[in-house]
Amino acid sequence: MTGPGPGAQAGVGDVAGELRRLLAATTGRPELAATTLDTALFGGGVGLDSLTGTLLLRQVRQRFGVDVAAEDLNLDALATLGTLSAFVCDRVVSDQIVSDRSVNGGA
Amino acid sequence: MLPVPPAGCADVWWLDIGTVTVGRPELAELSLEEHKRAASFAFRSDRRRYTAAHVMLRRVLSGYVDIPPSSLIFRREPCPRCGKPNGRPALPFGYGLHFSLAHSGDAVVIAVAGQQVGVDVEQQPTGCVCALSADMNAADAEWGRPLDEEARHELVMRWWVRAEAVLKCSGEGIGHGIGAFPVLGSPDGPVGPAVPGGPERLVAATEAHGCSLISLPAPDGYQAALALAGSVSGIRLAVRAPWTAAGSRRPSRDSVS
Repeated sequence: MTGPGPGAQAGVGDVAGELRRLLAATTGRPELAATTLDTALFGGGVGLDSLTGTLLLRQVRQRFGVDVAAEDLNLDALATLGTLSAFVCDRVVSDQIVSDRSVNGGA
Repeated sequence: MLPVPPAGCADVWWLDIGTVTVGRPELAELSLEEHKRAASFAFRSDRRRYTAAHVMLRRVLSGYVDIPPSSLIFRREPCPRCGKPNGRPALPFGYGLHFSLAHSGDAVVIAVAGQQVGVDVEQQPTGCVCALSADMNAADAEWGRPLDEEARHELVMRWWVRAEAVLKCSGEGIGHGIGAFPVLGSPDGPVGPAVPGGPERLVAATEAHGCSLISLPAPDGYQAALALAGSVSGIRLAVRAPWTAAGSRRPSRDSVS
């Protein structure tokens, strides 16, 4: 998986913070607000099941406009909180660049 | 030895993990792979749910195939959609037996049948699930339009467990999408026998995605569904182990360990 560029590092932390909040809210488990970046999301780790996982991805789509399941067919992004944060941040930054280019006439 | 249910029939086993102790004798029945998976959970409650469910699965299946629980070996069938080895769990030699396991909160449910079977149970989430309406099949989503938020939550959860039961029965899982076909039929359709068990009962089924589908009565705060492969007008259910609810009100105390 391609990591975010140097300029996006602060963004990954921001995204991770928001994902922690969504994790805690989606599952009703406040302790998940302290999930570390290297913690697995499924099949162990914080133990998301198919329902809470789907809810999380739906809320990621609403909050960030990123459809993880559609864009990452191997679902590698869902391995840990860190990989998901990097994936979302990468897509948000890419969209921002595309958006800025179209505002600036494709410069 | 328990007989494998005949065509159109399914055995259902419930377990309230609030009522069981998972100690050394139980843990000794799990495989190395199951121990590794259990150890990978960050929270004790998740580890306990996983271990209790898999100990129960081994003990239940042991009764049908006359093999000690700890000697059972599981494999994964290929997904019928993509061929990856993440389809239905199965025993290596089949034994003419199919099974499905689901767990959520304190509830574990196992379905056993002589044909492909899928079961799902979900504890009502504390948060709003209306966002999932976007994942629903359009025909199913229509049922939710006139409902207030509380009733829509119920409907969405009912839809979820029914759709997931079908996709577990087919072996596709939810990875390929969950809204490709309607599963609600009539949202007020019939449900199965009472939770405490009782005699076998024929439950009218809805056809969905090549399966016959019913909602299972579930403990308070849960919803459940069961699907059998093929088309039958009703599924004959036998609740082999009832839900006791003895531990359902026990507050969970998650802790990192």
